[in-house]
Amino acid sequence: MKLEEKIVRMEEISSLLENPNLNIDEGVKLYDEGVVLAKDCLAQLQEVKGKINIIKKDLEVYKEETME
Amino acid sequence: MLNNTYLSVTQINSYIKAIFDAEVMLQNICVFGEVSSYNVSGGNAYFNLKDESGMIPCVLFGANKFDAPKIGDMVLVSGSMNYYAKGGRLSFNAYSIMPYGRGLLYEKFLKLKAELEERGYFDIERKKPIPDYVKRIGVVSSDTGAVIHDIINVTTRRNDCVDIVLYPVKVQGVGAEQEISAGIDFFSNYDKVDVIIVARGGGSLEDLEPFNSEVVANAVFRCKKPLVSAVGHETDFTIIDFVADLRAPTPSAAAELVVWDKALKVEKVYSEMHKIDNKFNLCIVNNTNKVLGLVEGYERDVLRLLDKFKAKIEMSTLKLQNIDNLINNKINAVDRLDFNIRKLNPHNIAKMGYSKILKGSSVVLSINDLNHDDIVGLSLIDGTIKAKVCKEKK
Repeated sequence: MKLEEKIVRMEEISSLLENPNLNIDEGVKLYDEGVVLAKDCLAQLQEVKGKINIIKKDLEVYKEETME
Repeated sequence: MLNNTYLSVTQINSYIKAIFDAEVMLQNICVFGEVSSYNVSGGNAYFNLKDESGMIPCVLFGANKFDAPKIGDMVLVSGSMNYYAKGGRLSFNAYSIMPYGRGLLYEKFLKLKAELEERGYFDIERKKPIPDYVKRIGVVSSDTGAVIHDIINVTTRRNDCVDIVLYPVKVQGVGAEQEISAGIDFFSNYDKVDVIIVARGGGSLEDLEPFNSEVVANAVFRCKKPLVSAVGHETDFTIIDFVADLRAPTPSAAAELVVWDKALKVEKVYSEMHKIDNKFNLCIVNNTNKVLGLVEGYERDVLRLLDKFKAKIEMSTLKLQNIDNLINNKINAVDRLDFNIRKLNPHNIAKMGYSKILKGSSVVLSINDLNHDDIVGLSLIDGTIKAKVCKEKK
């Protein structure tokens, strides 16, 4: 699942938890899912640093190289 | 064969100048063209006149007598060609300048813009949305100059996880539009980028010309990826800006528009988790209250039931007490009867010395019922005897 989808799901969980008739089992299930999503999102946001590359053409083949 | 005549620079320059001065076709003529640069210095204006195939440098003496033209204006200048021997340069010495319609480049721009608009190149419906979470950006721009560095700086400041892939191109001059178009086509089919930025810094109308070309407009139109144009300064509008999915006023602004702010996203995740936390706590409280409500309900039901039982028991106890009293009353009545029966027992009377006198089967209660010599029966404690009345009545 992409980061944006995870955040959207967290928003959904948040509104589902607002239901006053939600039983505790469903609540715990949603809460656990929210915790996992938050952890995943934060891990995704701490991913490796972005790269700055340049396209080079070598014998009609295009390839990415690190930009000096 | 080499001519062995040696000439000084002055001599050759004087010769060239004499040729130009003698050529009547180049004297007192009117030339029209597009102004591509215009600088005033020492009361004279130095500028270039150009058309599709060439350019000529011009000097206008006493420039303050005329309205200064803008870059791109089409003008008509009157004057003569002159060879400036001291500098070894050929220029057109103008003594007047006047507007000559609108600039050709501008007219070409308006014509192409109208054509492309007619063809639906600018339709809002075909504009692709810029993704919210871009991971890799393809940049079509020059690999030298400030533009790519501005984009890199803004991008890394906002989000150090985003990759930038530069497709280096010429951004002005001959062949620029083909290179730009090839860069757009490359990224359009390159899976490894999410969005494309086509950028260059500010410049004259001629410098921005490739971005006003149909070749580039076509490449943007067929591009399968969302594309942001960032050409020139905020006030410059080029054809690519109208065809692009989004126009950014400057290259830095393009990076601001495309790159999502990582810090804001981290904050958003924390804020959503905080909401989930609060709402989950509320869910626990709600459920706990429900359970407590049920327990209270049961308690109330049990107490109500106990009260009911208690009332029943009290009622039964009362009934039992009544029955007890009734029994006691009966027992007392029986006792009383027993006492009376005992009291009236003839044996007890007999014990006191009384006896029952029977005459036949009738009890004798009065002396008048007896006569002399009557045989009567006397009932005593231990039996009955017969006796004879022998005494006279009183």
